[in-house]
Amino acid sequence: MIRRRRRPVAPLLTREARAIPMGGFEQARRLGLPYVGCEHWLIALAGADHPAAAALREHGVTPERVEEQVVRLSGGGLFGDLDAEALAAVGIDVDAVRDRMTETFGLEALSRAGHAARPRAVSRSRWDPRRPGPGVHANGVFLPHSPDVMKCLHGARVEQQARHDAQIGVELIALSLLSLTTGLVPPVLAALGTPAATLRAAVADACRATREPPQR
Amino acid sequence: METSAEIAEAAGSTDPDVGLRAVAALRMLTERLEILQVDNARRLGWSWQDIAVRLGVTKQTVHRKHGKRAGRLG
Repeated sequence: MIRRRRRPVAPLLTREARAIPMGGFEQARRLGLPYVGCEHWLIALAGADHPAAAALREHGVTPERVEEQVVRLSGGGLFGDLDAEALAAVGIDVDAVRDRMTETFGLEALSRAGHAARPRAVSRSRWDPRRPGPGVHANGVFLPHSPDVMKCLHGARVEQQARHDAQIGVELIALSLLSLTTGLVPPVLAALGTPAATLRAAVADACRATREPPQR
Repeated sequence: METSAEIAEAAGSTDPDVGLRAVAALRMLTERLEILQVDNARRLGWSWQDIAVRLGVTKQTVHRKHGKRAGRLG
């Protein structure tokens, strides 16, 4: 039998960038939510030790302020991953539904129902090939990724290929997060009062200042 | 919130992308509201029969779906 040696494959994300999905996973767990969304990545990114994160914090996007909005907007995890845009197309305002339900039942009941709606998503004790789609599995817990996470990664990947970078860094993840049009990141940024375009420019500037000059 | 004319236009839109996504999201929303309401009803001491009548299904159906979880609440 011929054994071919596999060429070592560089991980898709840089070491610094890998801390963001894991940070997002930790944030989702800490908030007791049954999925990881880009809003959790944004909390992790805002708290990171990186020029891009510093630029976000300068514009008021701090982990505490983002978290406050995420808790409010996700309604205990029951409404955070719904396709608000599609529902608006048939005349349903998810924000209004969420506010009414939070007012009536309280965040705790919403959070309980959120877990019940996805019974297999949390406290999965071992890896299971039948698990529902992509997500993060760590410390015996599996949390699925919401669709906007895949969109964010795809956006970062396209930009990485356009720049001919070897890996996806924190800057590309940050820019891709700030370019999202679905999920909870746009409403969180809107609630914080900072336009995404301003933040994108600030992140790009901060990273350009620290990036090494291109080598010949 | 959109005006009713805009809503009618979107709902009657022939773009399957919008329509199908809306249907999927509606299904998810309904599921979650059902869980919330059934839990609340059980906490208030409603019987499975009463809940089933309101949901328009048999009490076996509603018990099979929610009994394991909401049974503990009642």
